[in-house]
Amino acid sequence: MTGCEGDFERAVLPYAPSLLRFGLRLTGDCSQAEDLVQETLLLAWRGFGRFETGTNLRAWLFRILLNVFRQQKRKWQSSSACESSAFETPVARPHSDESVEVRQALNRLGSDQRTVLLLAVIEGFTCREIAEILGVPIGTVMSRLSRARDAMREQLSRVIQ
Amino acid sequence: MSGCDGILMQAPLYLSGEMAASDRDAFAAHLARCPVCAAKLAEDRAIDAALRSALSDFAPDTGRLELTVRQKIALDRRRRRWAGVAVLAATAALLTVAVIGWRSWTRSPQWYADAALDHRKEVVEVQPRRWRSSPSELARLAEQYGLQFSQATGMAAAGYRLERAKICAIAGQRMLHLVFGNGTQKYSIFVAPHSARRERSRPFRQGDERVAEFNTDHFRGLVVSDSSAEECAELARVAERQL
Repeated sequence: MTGCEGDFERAVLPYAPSLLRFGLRLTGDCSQAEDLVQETLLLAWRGFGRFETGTNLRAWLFRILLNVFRQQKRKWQSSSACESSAFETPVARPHSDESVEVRQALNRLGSDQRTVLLLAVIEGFTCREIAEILGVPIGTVMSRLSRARDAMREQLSRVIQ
Repeated sequence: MSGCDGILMQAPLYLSGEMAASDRDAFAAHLARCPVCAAKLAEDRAIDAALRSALSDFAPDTGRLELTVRQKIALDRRRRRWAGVAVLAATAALLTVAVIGWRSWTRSPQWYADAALDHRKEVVEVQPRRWRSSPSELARLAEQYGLQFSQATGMAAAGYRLERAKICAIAGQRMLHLVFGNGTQKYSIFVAPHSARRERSRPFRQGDERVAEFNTDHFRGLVVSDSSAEECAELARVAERQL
């Protein structure tokens, strides 16, 4: 059974906030993140007829978002310093010292490690779901997660003690 | 690889709650007796908590984004609907053209059959019908079909003359039936005005008769005779030249 056009807005749009939050952490730029999520949702709309009801809709949306991000990343990088400003996202209140330290540590991770850490810790995906989203074996996801946590541990020894 | 390394490789599955019950019990049992691994896992949990805390203060407003997406989806829906209507209209137009083409294609044999039958009944078997044969009557009939009298008589092949005429129905269309004779042999020409010129087709055998079609810019005609295909085609060419 596949998705019905009429169900799209009801089923998919509630995921817009988490997609935008993740998009902001990928791009570090509000405008780029909105473009990224908009393109993701429109691609999902066009492909919704082929989406199999009962499978993981949220994982499917994140997979689309990451694919769009990979496609657009090069273009964005050529026009702005996206990578260097990643994760310095707009916030509602000033960062604490600890928060700044954590963000900086996260920002120093490699892109692959950062992505799996965000998907696992912030978005709450399981390793299997992350493997499905990224299209890599689950062992790769586990390995990237372990290395990401090790790298964070080295930088945040003061924070986590 | 030490036992601890092997255990810790499974830590992501343990932390995400994906581990099977038996593996989870074994993992927990190892933690209970290995303070190094237990401490490392506690640090992993602390890192995750710090990360959640550091990034939890941002709740993006998606109102504008959702509005834009809804508008684009509505536009896309309208486009799809119009595309569907366009496809339906194109299909209907194609079907209409196909039906007209098919009817046109299949019409000729019916015309030929009706013309041959009319020729047989009216000319060969000489059914009792009222024919027009005087020059004035022939001229009036010809005029009704947009023909000058000289054109009607001029359609006769060498040695033949226009003997008589009447109106008949061929495949549902009223046509002028002209009979030409040379004293021993007769043939028929059926003629009617039409708006579109068609290609001349090859003579068609219909029973004992041959039927040849001819076309000009304004007239369509059929010649029916009991001659050969070549002679019938020549009779059609003579008639066509007059029109």
